[in-house]
Amino acid sequence: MSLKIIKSSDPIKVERLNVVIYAQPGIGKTSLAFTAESPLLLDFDQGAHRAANRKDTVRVNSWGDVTAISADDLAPYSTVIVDTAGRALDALSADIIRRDAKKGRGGALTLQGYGSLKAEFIAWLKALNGMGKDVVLIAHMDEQRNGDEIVERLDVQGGSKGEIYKAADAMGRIAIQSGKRVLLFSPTDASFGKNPGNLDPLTIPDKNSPDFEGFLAGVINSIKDALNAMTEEQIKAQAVLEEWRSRIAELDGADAFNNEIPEIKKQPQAVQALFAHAATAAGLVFDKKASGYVSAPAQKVA
Amino acid sequence: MLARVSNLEAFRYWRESEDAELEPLLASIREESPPSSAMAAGTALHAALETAQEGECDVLYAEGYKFIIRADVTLALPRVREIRGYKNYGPLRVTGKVDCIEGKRVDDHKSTGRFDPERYIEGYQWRYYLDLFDADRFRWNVFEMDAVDDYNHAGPAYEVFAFHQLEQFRYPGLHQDCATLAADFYEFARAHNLTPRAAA
Repeated sequence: MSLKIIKSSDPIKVERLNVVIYAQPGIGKTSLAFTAESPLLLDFDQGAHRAANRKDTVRVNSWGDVTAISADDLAPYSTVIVDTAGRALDALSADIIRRDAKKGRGGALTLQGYGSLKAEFIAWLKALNGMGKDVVLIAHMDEQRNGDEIVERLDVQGGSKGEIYKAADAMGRIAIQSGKRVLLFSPTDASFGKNPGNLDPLTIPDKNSPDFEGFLAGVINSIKDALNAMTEEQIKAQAVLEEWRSRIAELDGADAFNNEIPEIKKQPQAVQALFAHAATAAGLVFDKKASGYVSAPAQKVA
Repeated sequence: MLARVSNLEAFRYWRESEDAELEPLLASIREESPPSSAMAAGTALHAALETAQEGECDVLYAEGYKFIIRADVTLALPRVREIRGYKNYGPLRVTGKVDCIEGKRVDDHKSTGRFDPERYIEGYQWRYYLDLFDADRFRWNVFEMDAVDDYNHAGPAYEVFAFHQLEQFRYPGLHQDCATLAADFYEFARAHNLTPRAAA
């Protein structure tokens, strides 16, 4: 048990994603999930038979059914759909208590049991990602009233919900707008979302439209492309920040800082903030009239 | 008018919470209320991390506090730390200090007794920090900790029993969301004759 502080390293290329899709029951979450690339659905909710476009499905009665699935079994699939994530965590919880009775009290996990749940769930997701699978975690929506407002949340029990928020690279919800189903990744004041793809609201094609097949596969690929573009931007931005961090560290006195001002104005916000911070630390204040830094007046000694 | 990101987030939280009372909000914006013991411990943990170097340890000390690490924590700490940014939203100038910046990613350290990701995600702190620093990705480093008795240490002691990382991203409309809350806060501050004592 320790705190290990390591050097930041360049982000790596994103090849696999964990995507959460949540919505009210009956709005077509499972049908949408089946439009991911080569999907296998783990049917914890026992409801996949209702999806019109049903594809390969494993009916899960207990967590043992999941652990019995081998890498070879998964080889033909690119995406694993967990339907629903809440029920999957329930099944894992029951299995943890079955394996170690000390981790349960009255059917619920103890604090130690929750620790096992979090560790095992994340390890399982990582194992799936490690096998090259995207994971779509489906969740029901819980509508909570807050005064006059309805606030939309994931309907997942207890502390395990946090693991889903942490594991999700992207999080979208299905809503009905003007009679059409839309997939929304941006958060609002009343609902959660995680939108690394910077995606605008996406109209979900009609189930009978040829565009419906492969719809979620396209969305997931868009998010990966955006994340990888962000990775390249991140590497460039960090290089600029590092270059300026070194350059600013060499500045000595008001004149040196003032000479850099024209160049600093062209730099990203983070560099400008770093520059201002360094000037303050060097005992300088910005004089608006002079449009430059001057030495801060000496503090009066009491 | 200059306001801290924390002022705007406190206002938003008060407005969204049915049971929240006005006076504690006004006192916090005017900085009339002393920090709670949890806040003071959080400030000390930040101080420890601000100067932390690469390496491994099982105890951190800062500002008279002791933090005993009882979890496996691996933390990539950027070298650019504790930087203050500013942005104007109409008549309101908003300022916030980030714990770390790495390229287009902003990192924020949190200490808490119980990890509540929804509280962080629904908040506006991350949105403002992304907007203030023109960043794309926000990362929370959350230290779950409890006060403990440590008779070998004269000051307060805390045990870090879990660590979590959570991320959020810039989205279309983020700047407008920040501008809308800033406009609402500005009107609220004027109506209550508030002059937030934001750091210059």
